[in-house]
Amino acid sequence: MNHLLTFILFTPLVAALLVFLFGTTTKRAKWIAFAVSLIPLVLSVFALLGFDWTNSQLQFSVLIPWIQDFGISYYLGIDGLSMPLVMLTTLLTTLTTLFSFDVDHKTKTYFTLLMLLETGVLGVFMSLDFFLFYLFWELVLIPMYFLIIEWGGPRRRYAALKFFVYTHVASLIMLVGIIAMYFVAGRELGYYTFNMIEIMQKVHFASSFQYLVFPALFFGFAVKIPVVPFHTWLPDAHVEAPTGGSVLLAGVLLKMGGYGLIRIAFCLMPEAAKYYALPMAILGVISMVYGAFLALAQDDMKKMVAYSSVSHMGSVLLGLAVMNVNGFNGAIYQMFAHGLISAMLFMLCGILQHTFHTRRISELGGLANRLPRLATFFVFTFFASLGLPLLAGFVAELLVFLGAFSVYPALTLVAMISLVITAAYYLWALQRAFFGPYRESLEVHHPHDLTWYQSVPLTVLGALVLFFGICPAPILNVINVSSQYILQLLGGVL
Amino acid sequence: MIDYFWLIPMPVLFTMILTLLFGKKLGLKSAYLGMLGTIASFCMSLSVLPDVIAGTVKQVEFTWFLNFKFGFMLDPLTITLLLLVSFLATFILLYANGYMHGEGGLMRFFAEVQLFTFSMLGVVIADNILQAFIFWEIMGLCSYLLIGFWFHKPSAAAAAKKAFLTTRVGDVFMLIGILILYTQTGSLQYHEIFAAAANMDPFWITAATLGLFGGVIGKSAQFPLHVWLPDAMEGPTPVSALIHAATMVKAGIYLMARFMPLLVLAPISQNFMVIIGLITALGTALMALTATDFKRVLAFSTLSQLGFMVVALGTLNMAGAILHLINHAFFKALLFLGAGCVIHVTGTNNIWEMGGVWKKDKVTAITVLIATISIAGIPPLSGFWSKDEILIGAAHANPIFCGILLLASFLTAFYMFRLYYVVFAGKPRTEKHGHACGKTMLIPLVVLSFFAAFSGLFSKPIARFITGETMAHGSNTVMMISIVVALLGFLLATVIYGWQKISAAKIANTFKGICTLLINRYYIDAAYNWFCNHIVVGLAKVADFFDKHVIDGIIHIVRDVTLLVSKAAKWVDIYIVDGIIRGICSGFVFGGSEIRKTSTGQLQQYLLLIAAAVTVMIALVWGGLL
Amino acid sequence: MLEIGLTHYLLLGAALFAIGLFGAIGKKHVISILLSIELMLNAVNINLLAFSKFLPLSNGAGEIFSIFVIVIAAAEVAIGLAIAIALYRSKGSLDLDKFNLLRW
Repeated sequence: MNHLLTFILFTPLVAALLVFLFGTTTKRAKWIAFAVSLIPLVLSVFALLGFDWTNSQLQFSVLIPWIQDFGISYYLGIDGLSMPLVMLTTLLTTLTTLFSFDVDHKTKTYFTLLMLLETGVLGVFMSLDFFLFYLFWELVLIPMYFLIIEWGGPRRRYAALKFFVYTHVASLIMLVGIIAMYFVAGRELGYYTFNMIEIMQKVHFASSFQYLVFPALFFGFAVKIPVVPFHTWLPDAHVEAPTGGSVLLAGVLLKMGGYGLIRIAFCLMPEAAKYYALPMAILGVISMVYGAFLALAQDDMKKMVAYSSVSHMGSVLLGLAVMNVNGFNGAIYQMFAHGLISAMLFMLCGILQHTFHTRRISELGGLANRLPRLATFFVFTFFASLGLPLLAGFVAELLVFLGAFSVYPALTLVAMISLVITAAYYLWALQRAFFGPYRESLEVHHPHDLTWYQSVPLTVLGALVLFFGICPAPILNVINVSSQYILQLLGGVL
Repeated sequence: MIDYFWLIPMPVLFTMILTLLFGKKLGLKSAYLGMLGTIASFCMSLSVLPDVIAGTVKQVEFTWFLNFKFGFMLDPLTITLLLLVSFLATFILLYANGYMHGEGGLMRFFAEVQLFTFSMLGVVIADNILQAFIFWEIMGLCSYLLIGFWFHKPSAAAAAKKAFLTTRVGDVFMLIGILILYTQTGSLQYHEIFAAAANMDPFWITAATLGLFGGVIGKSAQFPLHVWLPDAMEGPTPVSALIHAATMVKAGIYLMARFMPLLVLAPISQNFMVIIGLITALGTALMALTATDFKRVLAFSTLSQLGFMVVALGTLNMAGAILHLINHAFFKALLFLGAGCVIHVTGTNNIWEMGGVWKKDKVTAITVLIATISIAGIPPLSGFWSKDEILIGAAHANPIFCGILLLASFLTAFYMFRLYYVVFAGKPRTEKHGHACGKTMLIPLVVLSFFAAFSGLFSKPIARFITGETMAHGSNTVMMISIVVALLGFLLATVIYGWQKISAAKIANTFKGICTLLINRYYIDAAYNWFCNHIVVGLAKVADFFDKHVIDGIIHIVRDVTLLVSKAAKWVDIYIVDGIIRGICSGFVFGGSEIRKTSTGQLQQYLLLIAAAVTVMIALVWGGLL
Repeated sequence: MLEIGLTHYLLLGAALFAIGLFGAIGKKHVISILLSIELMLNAVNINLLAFSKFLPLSNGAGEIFSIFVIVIAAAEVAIGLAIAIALYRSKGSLDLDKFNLLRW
């Protein structure tokens, strides 16, 4: 059990190797990738079962000195904050692998990159050492870049480059913050270490230092979340990325931003976090409302969904910025719920693209008559995303609003505009693309309803969205313990 | 049984799941499956009724997650609505069995109807505002799905979207109300909120009740969010009956009645409610005058009657509101089901294409007549009693309110009889033919007509049961006036449409401007459309432009500047940094090529040089220089 | 009577070496150059023998070296003549000015 996390972390890497070496035929590559990706999933379920959710400390931790001269260690561990995200990552990777069974172009490389991506993301969620964290943080960019540039849409070069450069610049600025902390902490401790937990527990950074470094860290994470106005890489990357890439991008990559913000920026710089709470809340609200309006203006279904991600991730920032238990729980739960729902959304957009070779809403029409199952999934997912009660997104939004209203009532009211706009763009899209008479000209594409490898991931995700909407307790209990702990660190602003 | 009262909605959920599983095979028989569920719920409600009458108030709570609870409560208000909803749903399902004959997508239809019923039961039985809100929203979903049942019709798809979005606007206000209550009282449970209300700042009480009333404006279709209800007629008729009689619009009235303890403390909210209710009651009654679609007339009448109920709530007359809710539920369900039959028989929705239905379908004609008399407020049928109760309450508050309501009820009597004469009297105006109605469609009509006729007679005991107080003694003056007004409305309709002594067209011509205004629904819908299409979508377009050209523009400028800098750096690199290196290199190359010319290949020359060098060295050694 | 000492032998060796060096630098014919080199080698031999005779503790090393030099000179002459023949065959002349194969 000691090295459970190590196994979870590196199985995908092994899988990548296996796929690369033995995935000689398209079919074999798919099945190897799918089969091996089940292992981390099963292991993370074990971790969930073995997880003590009354304990706010890190669990399953592994600490091995690595490069001692610089105080770098191989330090993994999970708590209530990372547990849901690790689950989400392993689950979504498996489902994405299954969903990507229709990839025929350079299949072997595609699945290798997917597996590599999983290791990177898992590493980010598990690492407790700055060096390790940054290593994985950067590792994530590389497979994603290649996924976009090789399997992407017509403007893939632009999108891939924008994605890479934008997020890379942000991570470099974050790195500056990390290095600054490293030196200041080293001076205070008398020895240099990259160990996050040690720095968190033993070092108290001076307020002026915090005010200076926090924005650097925030910028690094805000680009990833993404927060308006640092969001423009996202729609381009999403629209051009292949479906599998979009699913993981929206499902887990965006969560790295929120995760890092809590784990690093908030935990290490509590005073600055409180100092900058209001600007962050304002940015969150702007993201929510502005993102919703942007989504309303889109004709490309995938772009609409991409902007809806901006809007929903804005509520994560709002929930975090209010610094109370409801807000925190809501924000972290929103990351989990949005991971499930946005994965479904992007899968559905992928199916649309695959079936009709277009995602433009204005070119579709009346699809519900022809493809009732696809339409049912669309209706379900859209309603899940617009926050229908008893589906996962509602609990998250409710908690965020409950948390936010007690701190910034006026801002919350502004944020609630997004509820109506969100409903508007989804229902409008449904009306135009799925209802009304069927557009016969679409028949040239010989549309067929879902294949098994499309409906299985969608069904699994749909069932989870429903389950975690009706009983959010299993995940929220885990989250709650960590939120309480982090809030204590923040100075007990409950 | 009383301990397990919270299971009351569950049979409906259970049969809904069964319908989802087996509905494809069962087809129309899904209706019977659904009825099993609603009947079970009805019987369960009935079995706890004696305890509730005896004064038991029950509450059960479970933890949902963290400190959020879900719970159920049973009190007179709850049980009344549970009985009403499950009863009506049973007959609507039975009716649908006949009405939906030959339609596709039956599994979807029946499952959604049952989910709709279940959500309504869920709203009613919830013991906290959050849970009520959850089911409230699910009802919104159901209304969306059912109004858009014939989604291949663009008008149905548009109406469904309109219904959901309009109510969503209201729901946001309701959510604000919930947030206020939670922040102010720290709880979402009704009893805790009411207990804490005494210590709450009046400002927040007013804000919270206004917020909740915002939700009611949405769901119960009050001005200015009433626009969705007439369009909701795009759904199948049983759905209209369900929305108007049993679920959805009644949920709003229920919710405000539930929050009566809070509303009592908020006079501003009360006044606001009365004003909204009056505007709705009168404004929509006027619109009903010019409507030509059978179901639209009924929809406008529902709006108007809901206005009455809201006025009753605003004047803190809970008994009146709930009594009217019950009576309205019966006669409006009956009217819609009757309308469904008429449409079935005549094959059209337009009342001017109908006529002479009396001869074709006697059962429908008689039952609809009962409902019409009832809604018109002519004693002794049910509508009279509850309307009277509302009028008395309004008169107590302010005689002007009462006057406006009287005007509205005059109009009600008038347009309902207009409708009746046009549809049932005279001769068929077109050759269109439908099908005769089957037994499953007629049985509900008969049963409901019985209730529509007599439910008013039990007003006093029901009012006492719900409010715990005996009804105030009615003012005879108000009662007399209301009877006279209703009869006047009936008389006018008879003169114009029954005997046709006065030409309706002439009147319409005289008041052309007003007629156009009414036909266009005061241009409110048009204004909303304009607002959505131009302002909201316009804002979205502006945001999109801003995003593409300003935010991304900045990114692109950064990119271009970076590229420019890199180009400059490239120039510096090639011509300066690399230039120095290459300069040094070419110096060496040149030097080397010059020096190598000394190696002539003449060995003797080399030897000479060596000898000379040795000589020089020796000389240096001798000279002591080395 | 002038005693013949080390200095005389060394002067003879130096004179002989100078003659040889002059020949090696100045002569144009390959064979003459080879002869001049032989002269220089012999001048060295004289020096070696003179030092061996006049210096104490020489242990006959001078004689042994001079024999080595004679042997190597013989081998060298053999190789030198062979090269001269090869050169003559390829160029038809033994005039050194015509050979600049090692140039640059």
